[in-house]
Amino acid sequence: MIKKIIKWELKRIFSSKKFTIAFILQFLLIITIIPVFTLYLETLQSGKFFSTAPGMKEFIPVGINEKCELSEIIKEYDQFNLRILEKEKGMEMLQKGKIVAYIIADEDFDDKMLKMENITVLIYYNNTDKSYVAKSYLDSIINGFSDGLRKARIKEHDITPVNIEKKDRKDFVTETEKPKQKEERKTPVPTAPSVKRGKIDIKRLKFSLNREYIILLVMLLPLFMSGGLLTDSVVSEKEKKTGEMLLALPTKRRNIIIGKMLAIFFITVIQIILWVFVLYGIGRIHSLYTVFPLILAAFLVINLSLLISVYSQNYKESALLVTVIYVLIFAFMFGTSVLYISDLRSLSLLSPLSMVIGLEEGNLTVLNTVYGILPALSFSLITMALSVYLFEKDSFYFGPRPKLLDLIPDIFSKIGKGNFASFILGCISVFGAIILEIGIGVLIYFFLNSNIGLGIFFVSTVLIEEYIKYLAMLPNKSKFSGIFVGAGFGVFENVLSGYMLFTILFPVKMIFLRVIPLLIHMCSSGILGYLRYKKRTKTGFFIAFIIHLIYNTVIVVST
Amino acid sequence: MIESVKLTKRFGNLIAIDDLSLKIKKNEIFGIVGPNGAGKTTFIRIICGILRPTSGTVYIDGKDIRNNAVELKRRIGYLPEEPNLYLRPTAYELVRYFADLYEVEKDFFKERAEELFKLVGLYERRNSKVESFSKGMRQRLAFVRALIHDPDILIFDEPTMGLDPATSKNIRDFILKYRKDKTIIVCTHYMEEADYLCDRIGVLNRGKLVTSGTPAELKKLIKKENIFEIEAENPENFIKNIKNVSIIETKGDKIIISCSYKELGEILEKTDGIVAIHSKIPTLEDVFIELTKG
Repeated sequence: MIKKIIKWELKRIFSSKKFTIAFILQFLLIITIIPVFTLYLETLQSGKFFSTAPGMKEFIPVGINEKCELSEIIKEYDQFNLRILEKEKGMEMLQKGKIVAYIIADEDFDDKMLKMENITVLIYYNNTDKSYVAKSYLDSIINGFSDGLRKARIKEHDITPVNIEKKDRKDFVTETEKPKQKEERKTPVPTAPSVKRGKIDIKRLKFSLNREYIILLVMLLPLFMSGGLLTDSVVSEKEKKTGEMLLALPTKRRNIIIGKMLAIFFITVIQIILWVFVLYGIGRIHSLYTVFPLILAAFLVINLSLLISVYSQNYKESALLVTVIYVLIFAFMFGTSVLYISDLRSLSLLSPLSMVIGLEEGNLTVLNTVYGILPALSFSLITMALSVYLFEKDSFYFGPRPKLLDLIPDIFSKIGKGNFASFILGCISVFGAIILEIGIGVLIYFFLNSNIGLGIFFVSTVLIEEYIKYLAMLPNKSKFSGIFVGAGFGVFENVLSGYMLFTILFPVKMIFLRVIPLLIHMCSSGILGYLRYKKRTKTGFFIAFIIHLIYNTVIVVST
Repeated sequence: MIESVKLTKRFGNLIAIDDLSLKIKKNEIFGIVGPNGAGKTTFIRIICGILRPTSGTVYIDGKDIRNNAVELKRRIGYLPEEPNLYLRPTAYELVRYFADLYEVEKDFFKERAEELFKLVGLYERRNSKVESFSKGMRQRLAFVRALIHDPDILIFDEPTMGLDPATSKNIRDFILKYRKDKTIIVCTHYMEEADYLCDRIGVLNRGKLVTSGTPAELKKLIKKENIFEIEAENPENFIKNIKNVSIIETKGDKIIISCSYKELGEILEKTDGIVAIHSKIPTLEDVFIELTKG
């Protein structure tokens, strides 16, 4: 039956004018966005259009004492006209104003970087207008060694940080003055060459990002269009009441909604494959495996759209929800994936799109792939299960629609009422806690970014976690329900924490560290569960809250 | 046989069907009548497996709809109140899609589709898009869709609602022509339609079964069997003076009452200002109003 429903849905969609128009628009957008985005990046880099700084090519003449990795990086800036000059010649030209800055890097600059030793860079400026511009750019370049992006690139080449000491002199300096007398400023710079490759990877990050960003932008389009198609398909059946006849069909109700979802998923997969092959053909991407993380991302978007469709009673409501959720998911997937090239690669794997960058960079490991797949896949499957559950409820089609909070005990009781079910519910409820905590965290970050906000966030996380665990223990009437929920919550939280921090910290240490929060969750929920059994839920809440709060405070203070 | 046993359906706090027990015999046309919100549509949706009972159940030939929904749904042809058709495909494509979903064999489908399209007078238009059809044509097409898998139970929810008299008559004729050895449930607002079509009728009000029986039996239910239309000079005064008499309806200065001749005599003795008295044969509509008032 599912096959027949899929076939019919596909036929309906392909014969729909809406789909044809959306497909053509999508294609036009994709072929437009690549050159436009490339041009935009190039313009940004040259500073010719958007930057207020002078953007003329080779506008700033500067000198350096020898060719080294630093000179290679400076050369990447079109604004500089960099010349290799002996020290005497360089200082003479600086005095005469033929160059505006002269850089003296340690003679063994590259070797020192390889050996991870401290390096000194001296920069002399004259007092021309251009020298101020030069200083601005050179500061940016030198400081750029320490930015997160650079650091991450180096980290991925198995390099530990070294320090560079940068010494500036603002005004023109006569030959008699010694560099050591200059104004000094230390810039700790975690940068170094690749030990494996034997040379510094001097590729500028913003250039390397160019391609991946385009891929992400391009590939997100079919995902969102497909979500829209699914919403349209499901909600229109409600509005036009054609769905009533589907419900009368001799099949299980879940087959109808899964059939619809799979039809849209199939179309999306075809589109992704098509776009990936096109981009591969024109040399915009280098790995056809990019298809897989994109399909995973599509699965996530489609399942979220499915949930919205099933929940919504009409187009108006679904449009509102789709807009909000898509903005959030776009920000989450796109924003998180960018962390892949920063210091937080492990965290970035929450977004399947990070794997696209990983594949393009050629450094996606098997472990990262597994960690990249797990969150999106598990969240998608939970969303799908929830959608099917709601679709099977008469009231979501024929109304009046019940409140979602009222459904939670019923949803949880579907999983079971025993202790093992409580454990599983504890695991699942971690997702709910994460979503709420991220939501509150973002709100506080943007609207109450202060110590008060931080305090509110600190307390609210405890409240959220304890309340969600309480909901998870509702179907189980046993006095031990709380312990099992707490155990599930703690274990799964550990899995996710381990997943996020695995590559940052030593795993054995992590496992040891995570035993304590597991016990805390079991203890706080255990007490709450027991007191609920004794009809003293409020007291239970209070004690659980205090225990959890004290533990979190200890952790924060100690770290 | 279709039997509902202590059937209850709630939507939140709203009780749509309340402890409803009812038997529908094999091969009969059973009418379900009742005012708006009586629970008629909810009841037939439960029989069709579209809704699930909150408690109680429905048995079809002894099989519980809750446990055998997929199997029993194959035996049911359902025509909802509105045709609810997909508009983009042609009539033929639409019917073929539903035939596929009901796993109708290809050879049988061809013959069946031709027969049904001819029966409802849409054979010439079978390759036209549904969106080009009028409301009456769509309703007829919905008939084809409901019957394409040759179900032995047919359920029609307000089959003639909003249609012109000629099309309504056509639809009623289809139902009678098609009944053969089918069990048919017709849910309707129109008492004349129920009277014309149904072997037996169940009256629903506020989710409960008020009564059931043949149209003749129901007409006899009206108290003491006699219906009188009384024209009074002062209707309000007249109503105040009559007690223990069932007032079916008041229309301006006319009052329709149900009572025996003896009671009518007593009324005439007591009351002045009666202009005229007409004896009236009870209709199903009178029964409906009497049973569902208040």
